[in-house]
Amino acid sequence: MFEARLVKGSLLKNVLDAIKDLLKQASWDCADSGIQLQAMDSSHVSLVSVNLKAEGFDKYRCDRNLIMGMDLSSMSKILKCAANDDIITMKAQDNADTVTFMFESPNQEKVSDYEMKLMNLDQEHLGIPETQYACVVKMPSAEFARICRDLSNFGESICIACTKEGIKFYAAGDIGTANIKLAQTTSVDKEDAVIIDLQEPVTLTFSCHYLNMFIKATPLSQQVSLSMSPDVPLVVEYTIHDLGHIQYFLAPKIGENDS
Amino acid sequence: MYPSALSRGSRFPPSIWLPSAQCLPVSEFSAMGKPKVKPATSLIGPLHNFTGEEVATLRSHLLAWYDANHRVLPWRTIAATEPNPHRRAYAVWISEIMLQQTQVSTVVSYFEKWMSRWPTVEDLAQATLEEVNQAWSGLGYYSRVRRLHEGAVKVVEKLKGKFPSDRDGLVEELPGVGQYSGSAIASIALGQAVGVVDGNVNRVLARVRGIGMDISAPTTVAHMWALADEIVDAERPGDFNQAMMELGATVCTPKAPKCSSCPLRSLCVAQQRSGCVQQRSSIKNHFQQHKESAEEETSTIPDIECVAGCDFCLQKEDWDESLGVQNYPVKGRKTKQREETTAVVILECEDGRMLLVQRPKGGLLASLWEFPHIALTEESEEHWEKTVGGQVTELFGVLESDAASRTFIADVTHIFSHIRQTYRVYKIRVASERGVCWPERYQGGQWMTREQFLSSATSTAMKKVLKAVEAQEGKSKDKKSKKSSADQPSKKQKTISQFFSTVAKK
Repeated sequence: MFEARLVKGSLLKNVLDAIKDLLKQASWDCADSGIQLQAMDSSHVSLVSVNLKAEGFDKYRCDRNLIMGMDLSSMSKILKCAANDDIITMKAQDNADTVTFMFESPNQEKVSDYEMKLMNLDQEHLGIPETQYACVVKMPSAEFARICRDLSNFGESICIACTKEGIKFYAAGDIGTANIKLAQTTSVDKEDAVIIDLQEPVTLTFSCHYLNMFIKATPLSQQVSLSMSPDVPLVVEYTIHDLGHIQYFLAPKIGENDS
Repeated sequence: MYPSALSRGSRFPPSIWLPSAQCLPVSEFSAMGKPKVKPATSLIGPLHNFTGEEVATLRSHLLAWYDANHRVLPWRTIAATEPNPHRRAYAVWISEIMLQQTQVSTVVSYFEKWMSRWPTVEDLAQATLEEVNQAWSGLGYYSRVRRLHEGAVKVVEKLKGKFPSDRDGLVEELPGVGQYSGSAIASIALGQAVGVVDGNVNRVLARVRGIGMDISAPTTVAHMWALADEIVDAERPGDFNQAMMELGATVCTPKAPKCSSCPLRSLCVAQQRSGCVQQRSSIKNHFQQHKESAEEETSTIPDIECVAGCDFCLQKEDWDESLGVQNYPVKGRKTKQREETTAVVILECEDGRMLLVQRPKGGLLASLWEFPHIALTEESEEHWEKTVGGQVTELFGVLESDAASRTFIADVTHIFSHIRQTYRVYKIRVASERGVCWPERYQGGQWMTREQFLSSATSTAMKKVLKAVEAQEGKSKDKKSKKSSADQPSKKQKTISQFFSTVAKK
């Protein structure tokens, strides 16, 4: 028997919004410690890893490890039926081939049940090595989203350069070039600050297309963290308050990180 | 891009050489040894020729534009820097043959690979046909590469490694080199002052000289060549010809030409003709009256209809105002593409290798490897299934029980220039490769792995077929082939699996 109840159901809606455009289908691995999901997009350029801790749920029970393969667009359709203030409960029997989503309105006057068929997905599971990143930048997630959206008007890729002074985003295309510099701030308010933890300067180039998919996670967290090292994938991480985190890994583009 | 390229393979057909009396003395062609036919004369007015003054302006404007704007391409660098004329001729020859029917952007990488593999004509002559076929794989029109190889052998063996020194010699000696390629090589590599006419030049000339006759008509073709020979710059024939072609490719484009940045604007009949239409409706007419009246006197709009009864003028009733400059060139009606459907059968044995057969030495896609084809000649689609089942047994020796287990994968369309080909792709797993045979028209057959297939000489169409198969298998949860299916990221974009390795799930 598996059951996970989340009073703040909107969190689950947001998690799904953050991954459904990147992944068509994915497996949720449910264990005693919580729920995990790891999957690559269809072109294998990016990897998404979602981790929801058992303690973050208001009720969590998982008697046996369970892998639930789901079509994420179907799951998203179902979660769209839940109101933002609904309480969401996911339920499945051991060895079941369906999962049930139950939505309760805050005053318990409306209860809806949706049952969805599970899929048998045979997905590769990748081992992510522990990496000491050359730089880790924390910045407001809305600012990062804005930058990605703005720069994608200029070109297909964004070059991110990080130095001690600040972080620079650069894009070039037919209409011209765009350059955005953010200086490290000394703001007291932690969520609004740009904080750079730097071992050595890094410059990498990434595809806008994927960055624009990642920023769909913006509603989950006020802050985003970007971790970079030369020639390894970028990590874009959003923490989900009290519940876990969502990480996106994006392979760099090669031969384009000049300037 | 090069409308006459198809016929170039078999040398230009004699029908093209019906020069009109006005533009070409017949004697000019006697050196080519082609049959002469007395042409039906057409009247070509003076508008469609250049005056001596115009030729001088055109040369200086065009070359100045070319010096400022030309694209740097590997064969141009060789033509400009290599001191040995035979090496220059070799490089230009390869590039010109590659450029027939193929875009510059595609050719560059093929050309560089080719030149590093066979830097001289001697190297090429020593290569096997299979090797050159493979290096050509993906460029299409495979008869080109066969003739290249044939030509290289001929140059080395018969001409002792020396290329002929002029256009006529090149056309005469090199298989696959016709009027166009011969002129291009002679002017670019050997500095001979001969003009070049390709699709781009045709368009430029048709617009500049307002030639409203069907550009594929024999008299027009002859006139174009005469014009090209007349205007070519004697000092820099190679640059001049490339400038004409480049102008056609980048500025004087078929659609939305960039007239405002065209160096030949002042000479352009099409521009003047559409320009005066624009001038009439311009808002300027309402505001700058006083200035314009002064201008009007100085700008001389030439007679659009040059001589009464001129065959080369575009008649008033055929002029479409909305098209402007794009009224030229005038094209004859295209022949319709033929539609064909063929079944393609992937025979896979138990270890995953697939049967490929090598096509005959002549004809379309000669000597390339392909999956077994089965002609679908019946009209009705209902019979196709039956034909496929029957023919694989009959022609390829597949057991009937195996043949019945075939699965339909997908329809793959591939457009050859003259055929719209639909492949109905089937897959059959055969229990044993023993007993499987192939019809005699094929040169041979071989069981290949996916990697072998990709590294051997195959056509783009067959690669598409394999892709379709892999996409299908990817769907039916074969996780290995999934990686190579559908939306592959570009070369520059790395994939995540290059960084993280798969681990066994607990």
